[in-house]
Amino acid sequence: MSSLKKKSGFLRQLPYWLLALPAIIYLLMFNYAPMFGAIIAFKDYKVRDGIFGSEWVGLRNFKYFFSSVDAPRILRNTVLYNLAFIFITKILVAAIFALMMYEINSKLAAKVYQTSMLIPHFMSYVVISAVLMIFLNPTSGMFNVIRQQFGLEGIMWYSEPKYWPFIIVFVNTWKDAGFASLYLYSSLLAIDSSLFEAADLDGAGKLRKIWHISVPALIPMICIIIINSLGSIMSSGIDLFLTVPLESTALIPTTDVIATYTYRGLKSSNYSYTSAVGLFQGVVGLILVLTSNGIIRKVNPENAMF
Amino acid sequence: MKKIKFPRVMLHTVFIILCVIFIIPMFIAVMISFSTESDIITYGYSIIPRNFSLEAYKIIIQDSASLLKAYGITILSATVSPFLSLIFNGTIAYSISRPEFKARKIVTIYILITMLFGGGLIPSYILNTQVYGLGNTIWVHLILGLVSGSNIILFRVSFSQIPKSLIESADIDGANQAQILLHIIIPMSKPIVSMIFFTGFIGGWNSYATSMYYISDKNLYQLQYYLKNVISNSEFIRQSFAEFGLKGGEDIPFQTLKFAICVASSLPILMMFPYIQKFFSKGIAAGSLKE
Repeated sequence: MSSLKKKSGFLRQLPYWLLALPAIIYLLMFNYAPMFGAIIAFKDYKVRDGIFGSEWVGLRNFKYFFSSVDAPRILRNTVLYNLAFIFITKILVAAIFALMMYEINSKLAAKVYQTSMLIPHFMSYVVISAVLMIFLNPTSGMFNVIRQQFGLEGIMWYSEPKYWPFIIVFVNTWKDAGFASLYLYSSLLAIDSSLFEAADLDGAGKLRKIWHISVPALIPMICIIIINSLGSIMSSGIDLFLTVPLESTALIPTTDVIATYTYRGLKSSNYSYTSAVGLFQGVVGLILVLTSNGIIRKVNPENAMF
Repeated sequence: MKKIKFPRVMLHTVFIILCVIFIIPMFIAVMISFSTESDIITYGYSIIPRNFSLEAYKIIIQDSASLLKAYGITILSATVSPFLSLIFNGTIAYSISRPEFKARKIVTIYILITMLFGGGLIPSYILNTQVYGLGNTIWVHLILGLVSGSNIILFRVSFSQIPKSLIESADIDGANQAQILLHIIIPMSKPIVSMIFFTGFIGGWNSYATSMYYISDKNLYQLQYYLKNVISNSEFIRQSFAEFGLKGGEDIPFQTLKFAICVASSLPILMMFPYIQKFFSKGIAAGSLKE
């Protein structure tokens, strides 16, 4: 690469080290230290004994977790919601939006539509949770007010778990599908227009062109999205699940995920047990990321992380 | 070019319906904030207020020192923290982007490991509160989450696209590495720098979790956490506003106040929206934003 001959002594390397040092120290303190701190998952951590002084208990915390009634619930919710977020929000709905957007010729209209689809993405989940209450509030919420006008009884939305898988996936799609569609839209913009001209000459109809030119153009990006998201399938963000159901305990069966479970563990100072849950999540996450990266490296080496 | 007729009207109709679905909930929230409390109690939420009222906003302006504090904390953390993260991530990314740096492979692996595995919430919490003493201090809003492996990688990819000859000639002219980074690399990486800053700003503005985990002193609440308490805890509103001249709980319009604070807390993001949209549409089109 560099054709220049350089002294490669310590002095030559020093500036690079100095520039890298702040981040290296930061990662040591805030990323590596907690990794070693995770040994409390194998201990009975007591604040007064500290991380090192607390008593070792082996795999006891893990055994408690896997024999608890909580484990199947939070693992199922976490994985299923993440799969729904990937395949419904980021792929199915986002692809439909992108394909529709691609058919809009007017630049102004496209801009207006895109803007309104992006706004929810940049709102905080706390605001979203308040906005959702406009519809779901049991007494003054619009859904129940409308139901009552038709002589139906109001639904106690925040204490009926059965509606929430739908509500959660809907809210996530409403908030993020517009943003996710930008990725797919950008791969549509890269299509060579001569393909459409050739199809026109062959007399292909609009739908045929979409099906045979536009949809295939989305496939590579969809693969990237799937593979990249699979790695984080165990680590659902906490924001949606903690704010939108308003921490209603009645909704725990269908809205509790690993992140909210860990948060409650922290609040109740259940440190060692919760660390075990977190460590399990971390290890499964690691395996998933390594697997998906392995797949990426085979399919498309350029996009591999390492 | 497009000769075959397509039901264009239908396409636009679908889009307009979608836009309504995306926008109207926020619009109703704004309308509720201008309603009177008694209308909401009698008739429920409605799209157009029966009686127009500025009561909630008056209360916010007159009485809430605590809300202003939350604003201050959020403005501080949403600007300072992304700025610091540019420095921390940018410097290390520059080092590992230079082939002359002998240890760049090892340092890259050191970064990648942190992207693959984490100790989890609890060990971080124990360290941050009991060893580093960050609990209940302003520092927790500024320091947590500064260095991120994915941002370093984004920087590195962008830096490595800068022509090597530029850097080498500056080297020969006797510029030191910090000067090269500041005067050549950063000006040539403006899109990625502003993308990372904006992402950090929005993330910081919308964040509440830091306060939820680490802060018990109300004076150090982030805006969104303040709002979260307002939404889920009417007692919180009563306390926050009663200190500042309001007599009893009955005088406080809980519902309209809730939505007025929602509006007030989202306003800065909405005002910046045209810029935000430009950055993200461009960033994604340029492929600089990886899914």
